Amino acid sequence: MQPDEFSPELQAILESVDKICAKYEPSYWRECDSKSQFPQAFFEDMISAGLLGIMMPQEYGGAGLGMLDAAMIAQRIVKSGAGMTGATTMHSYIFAPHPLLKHGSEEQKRERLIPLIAGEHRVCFAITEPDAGLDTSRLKTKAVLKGDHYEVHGQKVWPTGALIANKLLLIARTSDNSDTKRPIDGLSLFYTDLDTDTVRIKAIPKLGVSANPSCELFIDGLKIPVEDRIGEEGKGFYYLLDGLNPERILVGAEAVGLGQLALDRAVNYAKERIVFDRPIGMNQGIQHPLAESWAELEAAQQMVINAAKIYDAGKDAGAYANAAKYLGAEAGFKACTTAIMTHGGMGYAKEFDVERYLREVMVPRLAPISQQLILCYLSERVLGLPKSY
Amino acid sequence: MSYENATAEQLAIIENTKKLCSQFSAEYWRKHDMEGEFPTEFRDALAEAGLLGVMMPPEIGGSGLGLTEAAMIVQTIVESGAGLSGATVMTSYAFASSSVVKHGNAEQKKKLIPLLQGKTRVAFAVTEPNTGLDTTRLKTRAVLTGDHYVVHGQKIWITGAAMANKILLIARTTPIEETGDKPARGLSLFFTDFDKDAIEVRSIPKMATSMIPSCELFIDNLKIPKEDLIGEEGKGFYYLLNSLNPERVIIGAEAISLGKLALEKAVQYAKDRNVFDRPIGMNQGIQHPLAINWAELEAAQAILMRAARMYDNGEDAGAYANAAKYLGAEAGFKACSTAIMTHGGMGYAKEFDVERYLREVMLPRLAPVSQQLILCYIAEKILGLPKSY
Repeated sequence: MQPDEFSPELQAILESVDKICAKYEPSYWRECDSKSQFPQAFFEDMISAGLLGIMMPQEYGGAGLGMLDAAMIAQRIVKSGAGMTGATTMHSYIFAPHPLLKHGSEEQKRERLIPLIAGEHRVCFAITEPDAGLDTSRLKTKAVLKGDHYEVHGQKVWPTGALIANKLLLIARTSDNSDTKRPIDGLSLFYTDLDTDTVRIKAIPKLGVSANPSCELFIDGLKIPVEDRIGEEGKGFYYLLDGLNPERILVGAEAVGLGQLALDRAVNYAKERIVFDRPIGMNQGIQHPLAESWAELEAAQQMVINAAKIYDAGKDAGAYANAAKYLGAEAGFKACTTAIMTHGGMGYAKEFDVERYLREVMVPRLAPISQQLILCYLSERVLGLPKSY
Repeated sequence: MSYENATAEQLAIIENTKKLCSQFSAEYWRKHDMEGEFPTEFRDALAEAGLLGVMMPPEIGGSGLGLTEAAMIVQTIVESGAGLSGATVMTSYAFASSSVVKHGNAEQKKKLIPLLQGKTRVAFAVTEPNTGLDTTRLKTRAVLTGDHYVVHGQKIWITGAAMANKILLIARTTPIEETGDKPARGLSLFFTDFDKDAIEVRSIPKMATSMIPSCELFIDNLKIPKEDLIGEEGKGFYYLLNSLNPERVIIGAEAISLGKLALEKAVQYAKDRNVFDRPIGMNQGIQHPLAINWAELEAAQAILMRAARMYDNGEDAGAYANAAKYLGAEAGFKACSTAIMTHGGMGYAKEFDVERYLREVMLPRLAPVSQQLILCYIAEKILGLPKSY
């Protein structure tokens, strides 16, 4: 991506992001990863730079920027060497509070968005459930209205950062499946205190990004005051839909950034490593896969930028947002794999970081939605093919 | 793996190995992987069953079996859920010592007996950080001083060196300037005591198989008695060449079986996991990649068994041994990444083990020789193309 394609404003922002990120060397991230240690110092820098509220309006402490800005900022963070370990500290702040902004009351927004963006509240987003998977309409966690509060029972999986959160954005069923026209009609959205007496939290040991634990939540009798419900009862699922395209664009941008980081490292190694009296990068067997990755990453990057621009223009970005997540994740994955193969045996050593990039690039391939369902979306919505499942 | 035309003896060996492995659960391997703890109980079980010296002659306590049987045993271990970690416990014990069997004298061979009983452990020290795969350029120097050699140098990727009390070491006994256009001629092989006062061992944090540490060795003034030289001075490199083809066959076998293990886990998950009211395996987007993996693994397996048979028959197995390592590693890698993609988000969780398989399968892609150099071998030796580097 040539910098001159960006507005001077965005360019200036990216330079300041670069400056912050430059304080954190590869060894900082390696250590956070190896010790499963949250990058607190970096996160605090993100807060003071105002990067938790990139797309939030200025009246709530946000920066009031657009999707393209947010995607490129997240990408720069990844590319700096921070990888997904760095990006996930601020990633969900970018799109997840959108339902609150769009459907919350003025009071809810003031009370919740301002401390969130200021880094005083830590929130985790509890949507996915172990038994529903990607069929989000089948969520089972139940919230029953009892006087002035709801009582919640159920289970959630994958909320990131739940162990350090004090706030919870939760979707739960307020009407039985059988009572609604469509199964997604009975779901409501809440933004409430994370009460650890009624919510048991368990970290999930995982492949990468261990510095930012993903958790399982076992919710047993959580009481939510009625005033913590966002918008109308039964509309929660529709509120979440607004955040899907931004999330996919963002994930696509991060995957491309991780691929570019891996590619940079691999190219440097290929230039410096001498075997058989010449740099290994002189071999076509080494250089062609790297060239291929460059081209694929650039193509995916254009898709990310297109999708972000369409979203910023207020148009339906579905097709391009999905394509950006798909292409970004695939190109990023290939670049990270190639980076290991370029490093030979050293690619297996943590010291060279590329093994971490491969572990981390699996996140954009698997989340927030599988590559298979992205392809289903494109097949149905873009190509007009019949639904296959 | 199912083996066509396996003899009754081979089937019995496989059955016994299966029984042994069934004592070690998926949790056992997951725990040892996460804690980086050597699987002592498993090693002891292998030693007791006589599986540490599968291809070694009976007079030193080995089983005198062929490469075909060794591959079958290794594959059974991997497929039991032990993965590459389990197989490495076995292969790192005995395979490396075949050059001692072939070129050592009676006294030297006797020293292998406690090794096959699991009582001693040998570090196989060949690779150096500054020469990479250009093995003939090894720099570690052994200088004859009276009745012993004095060694200085550095080695890397030495499996299990932290636990070793013996070392099989290749070092330069003739300076490279005096060897003309045959730098390999100046290298000699030693089988000697691992003197911790003269060898500093540092383990390398790595992507996987952490339960069996890979190490860097810093050798400073190691004294090796003359009688610990294997065979003739200056022939060490050629002695090692004999073990290259079996090593490639075995690593190919491990990769294929790791792929097979991942495929089995993925198929089971695809059958059990219901989303949108049906098993996810009903989707072609899920089942076709799995079918491709099956076909690729079977094809690699056919080449592998052919390579093993040729080696056992005393034929030149170079082409097929190299092809087996290449195809096995690629098919195994694809199967392991498909297994994660099949598991969706759960593929990222350690609980389902497929993330460990992906980390482990990088090893056969990178070691003992890169995929790129395998392709160079096939290009030059089989296809008659000019050397490219």
